[in-house]
Amino acid sequence: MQDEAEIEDNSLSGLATSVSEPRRSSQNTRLAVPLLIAAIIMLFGMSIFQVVKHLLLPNVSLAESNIITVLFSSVVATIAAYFILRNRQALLEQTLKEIAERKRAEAEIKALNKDMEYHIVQLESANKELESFSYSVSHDLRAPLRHISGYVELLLKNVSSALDEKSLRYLTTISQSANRMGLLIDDLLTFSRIGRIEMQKTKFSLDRLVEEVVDDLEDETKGREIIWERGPLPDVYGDRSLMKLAFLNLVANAIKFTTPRKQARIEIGTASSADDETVVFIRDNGVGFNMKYADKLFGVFQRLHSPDQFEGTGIGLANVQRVIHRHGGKTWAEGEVDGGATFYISIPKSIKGE
Amino acid sequence: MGTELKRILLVEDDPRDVELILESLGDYNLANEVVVARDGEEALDYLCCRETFKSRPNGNPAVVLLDLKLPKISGMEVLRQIRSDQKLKMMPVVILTSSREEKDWVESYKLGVNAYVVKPVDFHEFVKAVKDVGAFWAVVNEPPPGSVGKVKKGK
Repeated sequence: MQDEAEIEDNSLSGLATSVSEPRRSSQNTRLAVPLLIAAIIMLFGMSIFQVVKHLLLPNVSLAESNIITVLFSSVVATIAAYFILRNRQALLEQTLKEIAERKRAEAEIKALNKDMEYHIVQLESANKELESFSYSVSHDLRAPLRHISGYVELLLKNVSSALDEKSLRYLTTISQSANRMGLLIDDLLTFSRIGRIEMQKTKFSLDRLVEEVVDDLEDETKGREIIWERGPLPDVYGDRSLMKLAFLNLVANAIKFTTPRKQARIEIGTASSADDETVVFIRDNGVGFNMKYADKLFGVFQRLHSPDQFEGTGIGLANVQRVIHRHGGKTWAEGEVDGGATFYISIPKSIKGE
Repeated sequence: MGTELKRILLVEDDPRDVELILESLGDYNLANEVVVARDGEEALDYLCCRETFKSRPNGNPAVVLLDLKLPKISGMEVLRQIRSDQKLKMMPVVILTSSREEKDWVESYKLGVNAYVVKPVDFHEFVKAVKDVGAFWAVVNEPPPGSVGKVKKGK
């Protein structure tokens, strides 16, 4: 807290000096102007007086002339003094007004700083909470699952020969459910990590990245006939490993949902877009989806197929969306039931996201 | 002194995990040589031959299987103290934890851990992971001088 207060003080005093510098010089000019006016009036007045005296009263004695000069000078000086005082008064009022204004502005800045500090503290504590939440999920929630899975297996090892088929199925189901929950927890932790991880931004070739992704997924394409159509992809700016994760999910989905096709066709290319972004699409001739559910596609653990049809927890597209959002881009999809699907992602050319 | 088997120190607070780990190690007959410490303090007492372990047989274990979340003294702190102790610092330490959190494994490696293993939820995978770790460190690997069963041999 002390540090923060110090920072605030510094920033305010910095502000104060920067404001008062130009003010001082403007005060000087304001003082100089009335003085100058007064001097000019005085000189001008004296000269006129000398001329008038000479023309109208050529016979006035020296003593009289001096008295008149002094009287006239006094009048002129009074007028000048009046001007000066009036100006000074105005100046004083102006300065007081400015001081009050500055005080108000400073108070406002202080209040805003306080407000911001409060929000930062709130945000930090929310972040910390989130972190400790996922930390304890990671540490504590997985242990009991491991125990369920472990002890069921030990039980099976000891008594499986004495159990009927039904009881065996029960035990197997317990064990499978525990394992599935383990998967869900891991997926949720990955999803949360994608949102928290610090981005390392570089410029990289999307072409090469997609090539890597397709290579990495070789195992899933074994025994399948897939026609790949890959258009040239541009270089993009962003976090390469996050972007690779997004493409891994998109391409793996295309492979997965074309499984029923004798000949799968997967197309990856760029779509027309605004100048400041790149739009990439991944199109397949797979089972597609009903556009009615298009807004559910990118939700966490949202699935449009039952687990017996297609495996998976339903985190993939949520991860894709999170990665693209972090890059300041958008995700959307088009499809029809049994008519294939097209997934689009936009990546801004200059990152505004984070 | 008939036993030349290498000793494993298992630092684990959860009795269920202890049972499952011993079960997994059982297949290699490694379980007999496992000393279990239930928290970080007990682990350090054992390693430094203090308190209840004053008169324990000499020698360091061939490997320490260390959980991170432990009562009293955390696994990370145990690792830190092992690495800053002249007699212990060369001893192989393997973190065996539920945590997949990046900060845990990065911190562990920074402190000089020898391996970092995440306990899988699936029991078959769990057994395989524990067996692999046990077999490697207690059978395949040649431990540093000062380990049990290897003290005299090396010289």
